[in-house]
Amino acid sequence: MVRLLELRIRNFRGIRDLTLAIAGQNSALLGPNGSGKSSVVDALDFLLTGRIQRLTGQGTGTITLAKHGPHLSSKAADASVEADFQCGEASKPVTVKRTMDAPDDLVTPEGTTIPPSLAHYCSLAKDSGLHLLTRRQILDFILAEPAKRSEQVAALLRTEALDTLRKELQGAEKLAVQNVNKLIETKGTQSQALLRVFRDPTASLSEVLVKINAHRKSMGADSLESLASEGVLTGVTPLAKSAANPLQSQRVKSALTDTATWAKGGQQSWITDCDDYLNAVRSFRQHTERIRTLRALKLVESGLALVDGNHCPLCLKEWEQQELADLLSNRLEEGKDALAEATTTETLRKELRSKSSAALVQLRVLITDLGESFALQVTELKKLATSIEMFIETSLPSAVDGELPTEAHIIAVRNALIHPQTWSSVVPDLVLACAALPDLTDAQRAWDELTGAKRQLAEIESTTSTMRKSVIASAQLTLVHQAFIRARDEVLQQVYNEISTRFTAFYGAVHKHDDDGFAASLEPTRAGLKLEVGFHGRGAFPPTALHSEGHQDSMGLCLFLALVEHLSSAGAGPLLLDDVIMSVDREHRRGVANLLAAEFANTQFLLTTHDRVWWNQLRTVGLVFGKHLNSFRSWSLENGPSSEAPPILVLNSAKQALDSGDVPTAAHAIRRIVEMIGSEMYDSLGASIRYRADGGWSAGEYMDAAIGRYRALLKKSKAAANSWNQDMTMQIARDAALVDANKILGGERWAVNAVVHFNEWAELTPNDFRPVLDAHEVLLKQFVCESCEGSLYLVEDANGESLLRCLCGTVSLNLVAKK
Amino acid sequence: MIISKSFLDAQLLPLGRIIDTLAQLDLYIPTSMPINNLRNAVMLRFSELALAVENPQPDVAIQIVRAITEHGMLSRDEILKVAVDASEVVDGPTA
Repeated sequence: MVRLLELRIRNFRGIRDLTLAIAGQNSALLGPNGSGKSSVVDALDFLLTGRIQRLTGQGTGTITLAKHGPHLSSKAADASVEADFQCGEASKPVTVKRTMDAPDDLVTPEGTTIPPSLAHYCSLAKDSGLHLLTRRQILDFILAEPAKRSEQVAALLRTEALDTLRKELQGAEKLAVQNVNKLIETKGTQSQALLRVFRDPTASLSEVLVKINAHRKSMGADSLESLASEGVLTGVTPLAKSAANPLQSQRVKSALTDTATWAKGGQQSWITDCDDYLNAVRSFRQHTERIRTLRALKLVESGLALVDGNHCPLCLKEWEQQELADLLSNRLEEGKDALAEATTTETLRKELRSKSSAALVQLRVLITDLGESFALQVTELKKLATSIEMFIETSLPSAVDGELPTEAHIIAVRNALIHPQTWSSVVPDLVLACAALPDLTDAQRAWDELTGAKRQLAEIESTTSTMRKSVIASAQLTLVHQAFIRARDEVLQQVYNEISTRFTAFYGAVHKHDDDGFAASLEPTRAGLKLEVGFHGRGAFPPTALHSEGHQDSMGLCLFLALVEHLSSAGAGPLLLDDVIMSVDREHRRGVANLLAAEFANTQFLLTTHDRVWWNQLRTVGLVFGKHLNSFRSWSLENGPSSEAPPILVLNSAKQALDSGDVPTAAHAIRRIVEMIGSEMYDSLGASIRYRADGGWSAGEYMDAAIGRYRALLKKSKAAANSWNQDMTMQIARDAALVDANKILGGERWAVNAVVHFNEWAELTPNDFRPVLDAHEVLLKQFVCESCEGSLYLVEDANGESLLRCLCGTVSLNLVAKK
Repeated sequence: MIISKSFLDAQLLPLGRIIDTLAQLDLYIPTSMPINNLRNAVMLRFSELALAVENPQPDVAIQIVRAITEHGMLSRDEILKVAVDASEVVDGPTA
């Protein structure tokens, strides 16, 4: 577990020089818009990831880290973020630093290294953004289309490895089918070569067996019952001397005849085929819309069949049913036209490939059989064969799939076929040499044809064996791919169910009084991740359909927290929540604070907000200690944010000011304390004050209302205790202390009003003002627990006011009387 | 079979189920395997489903899963090679 101890920011975004001491605890930063809160968030984001999330994404095209990261008047090298972390495995704090001129380097002081837990936390932050939630992300979770939401959640869940594996399995499955088709093609070509051995290209396999048996009989061997390379020469007595010259072999002669045909005219026809294919591809490529339509053809076909109701079956966007059906029908027609053209192109591709395969088989026969006797010629033939092999092995993509080869690829194929040396010299010379040789005897021909058949059958058998294995592999890969998809969907659905359950629980905790029976479901669909939520028992709806903006913000936050919790990374390192309750009303903000305190006790939160009441509530519920409540009052270009200290520190600063004779500073501090504490009391005790349109309440009015409310609650608690025959010591003691404090304050009321409202402090000496300060200190202490220093707050349930308590329970006063 | 503690910790799944499945696959889990609960959970279920594939040659599916698990990731060409190598041809006419 990693905890942030201190953050030091220099010349970064809107901050000149700022140090935040956090001490591994939760921290909350308050400030109005533009006061620099988000710069603190950006700073930690930059430190962990080397980038600033706010400067990326839609609408940030011209914004760069180097230009917009440093403070306006600073160089990148002077802009830095440094922090001390406490890591679980390290006994001492670790310091890390990143500067804007080297954003990829997270550096540590010499002699120290980054502990694994911190490296892991940085990795989580960089890869999935799990360290930070902003309102913009909330919008992505809740308001986004399913596909966008799916991207967001997938990034958090880190499903990219699953997707990569799925694509590889799918690719392997497709490759296996292509492999089988290629082997079928090869086997066909090899079979043709077998028939050529016997100079009978139309013979069937059974007729080949007859021819083989005829030769075997002429050479004194028994007949074979089936075609197999192993038995062709069994029992045949080898000729003492086979064909003296390989060119006399019938297999070579046959291959040479075919190759010579190419040399004479076929080569040109072959090149013409290449040109035709090239032109067809060029023509097809000009219609980019057609290619796009073709790629989506199957999708459009499926989509048209699924149109049922007024929404798109893919993205769930609302459509007029007939309008959508017409649109898809038009696209289907366009797709069919494109398919016809693509099929023509595909036919040319197949012909080109078929011719190439056939020629290659003959070339291989010549290369094998001519051997060392014709080394020079074989070298040239090999060059041509290699070129054709490269073309065949590198499959040209199919136009029917909406894919086209590059022109450079086709031209490379075309050029590979132009081997003038081979066509004009090597092959014709071999033909002439062959013609000059005498015919073979019948015995020699039989022997040569049998050996040729054996060799050709062996090749066919090898191809057949590979093909059978490939067919099995192909079927297996389909099963494996299906198993993977099923495994992924099962696990993901289970994950989504768990997340939905926690999401529902979190949201229910925040909105238990106004959205009872809420339930949410996350469902992966082909189009993305569908999120539906219940609405007062009236069914499931998209979150944006019926819920208010504030409820949607709560949902986004709760969904994020559920995801973070599921990933077990809630305790990996600090979690930044940047102004995430912006649209949540005050009634529910305390619920959010309670949720964070109750469910994420091991998580270090860094929170920003512009709402003072929520900022104070974070302390009230025990999520943030008083000394870790920081606030910015304002921001200036030159100095950046100016900080506001928490009440207890303001009180101390007032004392120091008074000690040094500075009455005006002490007077302003008192005013700020009254406002800060007073507004929280109204919220936590449910106090009320007479409405003024101008908002101009005096400090006396603030305090009178809070004191009056507190006393009323103490009185109610005394009555309740009396009804239950319980001890009332605490109520009596707290009420007496409150009365005493108020008396002291009342005696100094003239001075309070004078200094805080009418600037008459100039008339007062430090000795005049000290009783005022003491009176406020005594009074303010009445509203907090002496043990936990948390503010007292009112607990209400369905029956109304039930308890007045503090966070630690030292103060816990029942308000419900016995009936 | 070597199973690292970090791998087991990362599963958050019943230990017995993991052991059973890995034992059937005779898997070697490298200690450097990246911790990713979701991926590991999917791979575990994937392994179980592959073991349950009913066809004449179930070992092919197992070999593929084993190779993927051992290497963390395989390309489509490598997956195909594993599949072809693991497939056995029954006797019969070949021409």
